[in-house]
Amino acid sequence: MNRIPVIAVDTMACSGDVRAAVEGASGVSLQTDLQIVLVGPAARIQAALEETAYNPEQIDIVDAPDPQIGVSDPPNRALARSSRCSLAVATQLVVDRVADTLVSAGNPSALWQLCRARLTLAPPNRLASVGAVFPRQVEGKGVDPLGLILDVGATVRCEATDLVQFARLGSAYVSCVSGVERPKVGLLNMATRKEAGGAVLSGAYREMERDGLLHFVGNVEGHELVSGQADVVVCEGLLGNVVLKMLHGLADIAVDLTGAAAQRNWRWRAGMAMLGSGVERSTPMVEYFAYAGAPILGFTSVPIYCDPTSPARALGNAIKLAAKVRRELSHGEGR
Amino acid sequence: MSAVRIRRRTFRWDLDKTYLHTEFDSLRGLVKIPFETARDKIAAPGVAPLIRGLRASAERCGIEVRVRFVSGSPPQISKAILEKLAMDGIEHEGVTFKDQWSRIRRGKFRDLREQVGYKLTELLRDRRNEPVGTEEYLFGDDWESDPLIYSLYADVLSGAISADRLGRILKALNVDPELAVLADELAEHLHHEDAVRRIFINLARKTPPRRLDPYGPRLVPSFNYLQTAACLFDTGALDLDAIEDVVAAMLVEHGYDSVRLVNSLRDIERRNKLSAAGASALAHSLSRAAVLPGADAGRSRWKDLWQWLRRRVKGNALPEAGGAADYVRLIPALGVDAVAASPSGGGAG
Repeated sequence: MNRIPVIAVDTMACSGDVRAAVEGASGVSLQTDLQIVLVGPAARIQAALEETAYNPEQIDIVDAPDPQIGVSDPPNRALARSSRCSLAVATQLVVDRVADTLVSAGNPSALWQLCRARLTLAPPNRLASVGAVFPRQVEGKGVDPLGLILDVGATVRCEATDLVQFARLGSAYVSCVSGVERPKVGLLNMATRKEAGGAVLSGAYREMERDGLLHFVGNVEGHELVSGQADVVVCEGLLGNVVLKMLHGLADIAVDLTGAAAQRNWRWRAGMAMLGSGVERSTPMVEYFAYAGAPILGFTSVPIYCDPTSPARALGNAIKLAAKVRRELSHGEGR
Repeated sequence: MSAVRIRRRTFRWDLDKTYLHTEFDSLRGLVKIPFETARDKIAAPGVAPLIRGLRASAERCGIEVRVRFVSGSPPQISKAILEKLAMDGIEHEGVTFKDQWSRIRRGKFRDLREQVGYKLTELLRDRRNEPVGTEEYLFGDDWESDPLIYSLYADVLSGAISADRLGRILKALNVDPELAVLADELAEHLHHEDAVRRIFINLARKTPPRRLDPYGPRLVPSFNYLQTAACLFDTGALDLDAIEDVVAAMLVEHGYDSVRLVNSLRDIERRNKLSAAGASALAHSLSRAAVLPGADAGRSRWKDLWQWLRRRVKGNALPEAGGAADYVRLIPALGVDAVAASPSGGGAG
């Protein structure tokens, strides 16, 4: 029988407010059989918990008294100063095998540094990578509207073999999360030609093409990223990070433009009101980063990180996601 | 606890959602209730060994025990309920059912769903049968108005609420004037004493515990009967053997594991419903825990619990009950509507 996954949740988002994480975890405790360890200032967590409906049989609290690391704090210095912050304590719970994995909406750089320093790489991985989800056009019902791009920050430059390894990790992850048997994998490049992008990218292209485990669809150009050509898009960390932040920026611009136009003209305002439910339904696509968690892949466990502005629902989804991945990993180990 | 020797200890229980896992929250469940046999009825995990243990613990100390049930269910389903109690080995001194037919015959349709007036008068009526010095423990749930009814009863009994004030509260609660007058009469003839030690509210619908804070520290919201048992142990009403029986029943009959039980105990302790001394003694007993399975993870968690509880021994006394809650002010905040309190139209309680 598979053990019930134990998920450590870093409750302190960069804002230092525990409520979103506590509410998200409380909801999960009522809907699932998962065991959740809430990590952070115990008294504040308990106070927030008692304001919500929860199942105490599935929730434990581990105190982490140090202040959380802010989103703009340099992670090295902040971690040295706050060695018992919630992020560090939650990671240590995974190292000590008290928890199977962790979910955090804290400083992503600090999370990455802690994972790299304390977690064990799963063989044969040489590097770990940070994934991120992005919105894309999809056809047909039941197709995941979010794609996975990796790496978005764990590396700056890497070797062709590393990119192939990222492709395998991403493919396995998407297969587990979305249920797609053979996810389409694309290599982010400046052109679709096999030789484009220099030695590393063309070498990675050749290796992925030959790899029987991958459903490789070739190079994907920037404008094709959101067109749904690939379920997994692989790139070096530097490029991935730039792409991800540009997507965030575009999403912000779209929201700002719509709001500003509606304020300026009553016809626009009326039009927006009429489109109310449609706008609401498309919100997750614009603010996608606040609706889903993203994985750090390559270690023996798969930490999930969330945007620091994530609401309770997103954090709850991230906990379920972490558990789903954990269960799939256990199945794999069992086989 | 009082230095006066306790002669009798009375445990008053609600039935549906407190003792029994009754499904009146769905139409399907509601329709099934009249056709259920004793075998169809499911007791909440750990509740039966808890009641048996409460009786045994008191009797071991030479205290006379009464276990009384007050139900909002009609007497037509009494056969199945009485059989169920017998099947579970529950000795009791009576079950009060709500006679809905007599209310219909008298045209009191509003009373069919009324809970506050009905239960309060039944509690006050039965208290007349108790000798002076009888202490009481009350058990209800968060489905209807049990926190309000039980707290009101405890405050009337202690004299914290005068007959005049009771009348105003019942009027504000929209209780049938006839029942309000009866409650006033019963209250007037009571021997006032601070007899209610604890009120346990089973959080069957997972109400956030903080919402019950206005009722004061005498009321203990609990998520399962291990939490309730731990608090009863703390008050001296339950001994360690009985707690082990509750744990064993939850593990063996209801599929609990040690992690869930330890989490429950940690939760009730974090909510300051257990004194440090009680927690420490409980940890002593449970660390012996022959009732627990031999899983390594479980064992380490119990050891962990023991060490953690030991660290808490300094201070941390349980808060004493304060004065009566301000019920009139509480009513709008709690969203209590006495007449509309029962979603089942009076079929449960």
